Amino acid sequence: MAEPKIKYDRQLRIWGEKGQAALEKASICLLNCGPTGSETLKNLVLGGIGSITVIDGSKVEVGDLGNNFMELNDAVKAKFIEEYPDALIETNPSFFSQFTLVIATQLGEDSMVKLDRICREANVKLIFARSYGLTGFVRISLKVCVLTLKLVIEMFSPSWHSGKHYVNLQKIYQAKAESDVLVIEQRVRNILKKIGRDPDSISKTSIRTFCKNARKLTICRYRLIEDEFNSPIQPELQKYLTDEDYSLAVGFYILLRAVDRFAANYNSFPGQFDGEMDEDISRLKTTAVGLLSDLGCNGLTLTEDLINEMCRFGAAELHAVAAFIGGIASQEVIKLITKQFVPMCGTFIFNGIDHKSQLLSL
Amino acid sequence: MDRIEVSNLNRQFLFRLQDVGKPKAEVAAKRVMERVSGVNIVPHFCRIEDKDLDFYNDFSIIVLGLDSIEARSYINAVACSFLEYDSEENPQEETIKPMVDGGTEGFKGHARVIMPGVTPCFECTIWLFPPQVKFPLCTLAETPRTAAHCIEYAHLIKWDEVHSGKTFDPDDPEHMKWVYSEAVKRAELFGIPGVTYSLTQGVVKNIIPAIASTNAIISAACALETLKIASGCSKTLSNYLTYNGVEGLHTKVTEFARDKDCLVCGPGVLIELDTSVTLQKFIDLLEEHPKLLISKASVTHRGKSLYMQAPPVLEEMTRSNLSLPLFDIMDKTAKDIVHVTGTTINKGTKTSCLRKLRVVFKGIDGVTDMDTAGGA
Repeated sequence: MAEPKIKYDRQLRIWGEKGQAALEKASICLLNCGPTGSETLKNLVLGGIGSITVIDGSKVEVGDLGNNFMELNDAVKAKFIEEYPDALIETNPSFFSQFTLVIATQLGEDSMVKLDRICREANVKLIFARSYGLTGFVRISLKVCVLTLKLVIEMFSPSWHSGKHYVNLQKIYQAKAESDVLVIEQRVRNILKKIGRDPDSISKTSIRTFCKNARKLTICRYRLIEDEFNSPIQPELQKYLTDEDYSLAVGFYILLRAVDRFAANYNSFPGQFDGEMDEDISRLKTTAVGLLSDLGCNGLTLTEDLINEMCRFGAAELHAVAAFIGGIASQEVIKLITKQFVPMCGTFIFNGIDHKSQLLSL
Repeated sequence: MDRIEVSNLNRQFLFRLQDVGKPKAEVAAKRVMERVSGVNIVPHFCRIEDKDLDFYNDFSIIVLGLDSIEARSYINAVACSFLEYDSEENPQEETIKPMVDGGTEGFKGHARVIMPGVTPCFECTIWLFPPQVKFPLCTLAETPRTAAHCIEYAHLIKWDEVHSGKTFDPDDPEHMKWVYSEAVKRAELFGIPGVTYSLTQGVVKNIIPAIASTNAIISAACALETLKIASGCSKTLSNYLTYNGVEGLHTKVTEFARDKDCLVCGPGVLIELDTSVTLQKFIDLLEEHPKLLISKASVTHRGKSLYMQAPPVLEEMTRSNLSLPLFDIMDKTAKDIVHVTGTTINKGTKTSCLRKLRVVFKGIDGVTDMDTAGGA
């Protein structure tokens, strides 16, 4: 085993030992270990995530995967369960409550909605990732995320030419910060007493860290997937549909949802089988128009080009796209676990045609 | 030319602990070929400047995983050197060598596609890479304010004072420990907090923080663009993607414009010569030319080495050309492209460079004033 301090040197410079400890303590569940899932997991295993549990129903791959991942980093504990994620969501919802975070890849809409409810209730962080042809999405879902960001304040102003004054000023600031911590600590103890909790249940170190980073305190909130799917925020949706910068991304958003409806109706994804292309194109168009009307956008349609393109994708999970989506997903997982950087809000829609990807707040 | 280090293992799925010390190119090639059947990868454990132009010309696309401005600049000049323009100054499609470039730092990264002659080359947008911040020496010597100032004082000033003549080796742990302990003393003297061994290494070696996920995002974007160029399955990124994941998630595509006067991806600096000018005279001229300032030049024409500074065998073989008229050794061609490699001074430091030149001989049939008008 390599000396962790040296092995992780390049990332410790970003999130420090505290961030690394949080990663090493985390327990992650991955649903479906195809290209998108394994690309997500790879980045977390390399970074030293504590433990992973992989749920995948397809037989052959799982065994190989175990070896491959463990070879990457022997400090990570891993467990492989051969089961279909959809079935697990249906039959054993309490299974998910043991994890810090669940990464759900390549799930259909129904399972997404169900898993979202399960994780919210169990207070487990959840992130969805899906690759589909040259498009895909990443979406975080959790109740609320409170972060204390790592602060980097440096003063390199050339007018500060006298080092001594600068250092004296630093000392004044330090003394003030210290006295502030004492004031806050007193208040925290009083509040704890008032609400009937042990006044010492929040440590002085935690209070000090909180004060140090209070200037950059951030709160992120996420809508339930079900709410977004059934009643997207109308002004935002209208804006995206009419704004040229968003037209491709929102088109893909609608179509990524339409293909699941399509699959529910026709038992295959559009363009998945040769010879049915023309029929699939018109079916997908009808499905998309229907979905748009359900979302309150009557009479709207998407361009022929985009519908053709979506059918051309044929539900393929292209590896380079899966690597991009998996990269984004793992980055957000790291942010949610280290709690020093602001995670993304909204749904990230990947546009692999010209890379004009967008975040949609629906 | 890199070898695997322990600190590479946090973001590499091709390298294992037992590979530390081995050449990156060789291990990576071996691992990929073990995993993917039918793929053939030839590793080259050498400096990028060690390969001649013909080597690079054999590839359809060049993908850059480079870590410095200098290296990018060099390969960019190589790819642009193949570019030829037609009589209407339009790039000839079959001579365009596409490049895909990517880079990361912490939670940020970029990916770009360069189609020489069509989209801006690396040199057209060199201003995107601001020079590194260097601390003024007077600050280090007299008024340090930060931990980094103390470290740089120990590294740049104190080391030379104490070890006269001995060069500092950042890879020698004893040297690094010495700088660290001196920096600590300095910091104590001025009451400055924050000097750690890790920071000392970071400042002295200019370590760029790196994580697997950002690298995955950027390399995926590069791989996707390369696949699209090779297969034509979709349009490509035009032409510069930035990713920033520090606060939320931001991706942005910028369409940068070419620099019409670019010395690297333009038609080439025009040089008019008399037919009597010898190769030696030509090489001397390159050193004085205000746009070039190339010293120790090696010259190639249509893949043929006219004069090579190194290796010694080639130098000896081509030395006799120096006294011959360039016109004669270029097979009496009235005008043609000549490639020159050598060193040039860039912002005070010597760097390898490659330039494409349009050499035109005066008074030869077929060359009219029209051809040379609007040139250099």
